[in-house]
Amino acid sequence: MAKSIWIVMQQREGKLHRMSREAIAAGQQLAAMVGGTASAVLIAGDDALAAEVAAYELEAVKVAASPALVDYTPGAFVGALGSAIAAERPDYVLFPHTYQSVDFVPRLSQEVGAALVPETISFEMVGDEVIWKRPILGGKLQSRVRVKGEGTVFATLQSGAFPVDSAAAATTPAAVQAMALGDLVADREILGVEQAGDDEVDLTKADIIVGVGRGVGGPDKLGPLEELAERLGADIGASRPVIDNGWLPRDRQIGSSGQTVAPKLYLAVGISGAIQHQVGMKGSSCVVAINKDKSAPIFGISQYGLVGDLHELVPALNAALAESE
Amino acid sequence: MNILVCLKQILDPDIPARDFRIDPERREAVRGSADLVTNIFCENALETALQLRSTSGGTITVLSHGSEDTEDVLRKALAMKADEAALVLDQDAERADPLQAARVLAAAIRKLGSFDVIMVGRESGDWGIGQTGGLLAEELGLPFIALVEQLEVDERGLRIQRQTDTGTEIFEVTPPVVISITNSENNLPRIPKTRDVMKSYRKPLTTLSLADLSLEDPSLSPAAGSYYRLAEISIPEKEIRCELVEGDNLEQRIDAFARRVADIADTTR
Repeated sequence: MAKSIWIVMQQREGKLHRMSREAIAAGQQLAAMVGGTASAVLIAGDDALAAEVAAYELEAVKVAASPALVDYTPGAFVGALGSAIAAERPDYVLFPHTYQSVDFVPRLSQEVGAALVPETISFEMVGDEVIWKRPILGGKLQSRVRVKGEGTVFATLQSGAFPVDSAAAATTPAAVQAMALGDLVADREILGVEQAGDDEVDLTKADIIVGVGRGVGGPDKLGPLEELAERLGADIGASRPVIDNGWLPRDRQIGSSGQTVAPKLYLAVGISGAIQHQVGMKGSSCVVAINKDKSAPIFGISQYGLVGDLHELVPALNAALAESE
Repeated sequence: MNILVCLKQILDPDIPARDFRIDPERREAVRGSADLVTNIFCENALETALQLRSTSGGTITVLSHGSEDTEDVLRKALAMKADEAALVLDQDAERADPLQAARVLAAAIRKLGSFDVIMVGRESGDWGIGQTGGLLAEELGLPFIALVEQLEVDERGLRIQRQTDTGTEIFEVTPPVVISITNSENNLPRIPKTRDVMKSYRKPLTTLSLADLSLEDPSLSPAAGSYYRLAEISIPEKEIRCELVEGDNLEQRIDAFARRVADIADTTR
């Protein structure tokens, strides 16, 4: 029997989260692999957003519309998705691995009795079984897991693992359907929000990032790093100490209390690579590092490394890059 | 506030990749020269609990699920001035999937007493699954709040500041609740004093077996309800073995490094 795959979209104020599009790419890929159809589930969102999602090659766009779903709360989201999943029993439900998903998806999985494979980077068929691949130990190792038993399988998808541009567009738009909803209980009343930045710096979209760490030493030493970023067409990000010291603004922060990024190239300069930083950049396709300590953990996840004093090496690197241009 | 903090012992995630060995039969990372440490996010949770106790009173119980080695994690927590410690002794704890782990912790928490706030770290530095808190909350029938940066007691219960995809949000909850703690500038774990480390070894430590938790019957055991199984563990295909760029002099090293960086950068265009 054809398998059904649901892809849960994350959106805010009528704009899709970038990782929602990555999830569509992953869902289409999974549907092709297991022989089935992929549908998107859009929680709240207006007609324009539904039409935007329907422009991807999908079986349907299921819209859960209710005033209780406009602002995220785990109670209302679990209520809406839980009853729909229990009624229709999709074989797979995919979610972007965001801070929002981390908050409600474990609860949802328990309510509907689904297995949950978090932060998946790829999947493959072995015989008639789907094997899910996910990184462990900060990406130094990979594990492949199989789900035991029957029933719906949930997976959350690591940022950057499924390129947006591999998502197929529809020849004719997918059907937009309203989802049946029971009573929804918003179980949090938000008293205040604080935006991390001015929304101008979205490092999650960057192809190349120069990550700056404590080793840079001070705000007056950033010049050569800015030049390096410019030469590479990169954005500048930073680890927590740089932000806490006020050397760069908070919207540049990468790691467990900042943004989660997945550039094609991440050049870590003066970053030791503590686990708090790694959780924010382990999805990078290629990591390259400059550090004075050759046993720094960052080299454990880097393809190439250069050991030495960054204040000497970065200007020299700029000169070498200038020459090769 | 009666606070319970779950603590996990893990292989030091900071050891170099080249020091990892894999046992393909047992499908696990071999300890080798790696140290065992308390997962850093669990320590952030404990630090948050210690601060909450200092402003609002109450007690802190720490709980681990692991082998005998895990005692170290609990002793360190006692040295940081947790009040009580309990260990669910289980040689197979390392192989537990998140649902199994949550069921063991839930059974232990029910046995240990009633708590207003149950804290876990946002994820572990080894498997990085980040689900134990959410599953534990479901097992206990309590609300779950992920990625809490700060909390304080107020007239309605607890005022929570939580990390979101775009910043932070603040709301109030009524205990009991399960929360996962992320690191912030305010919860860097304190270093215990030597004197307190010595004293921690004289403090009582409750040891529970799976039988004590009525989890020894195979049909009741967490394994029966677990939902996934490790198929394989491997070094990534895109093998990360860092090439430290060498050369006879600085210029050669820089040139070689610049070429590699420029090549990778070119492929992104």
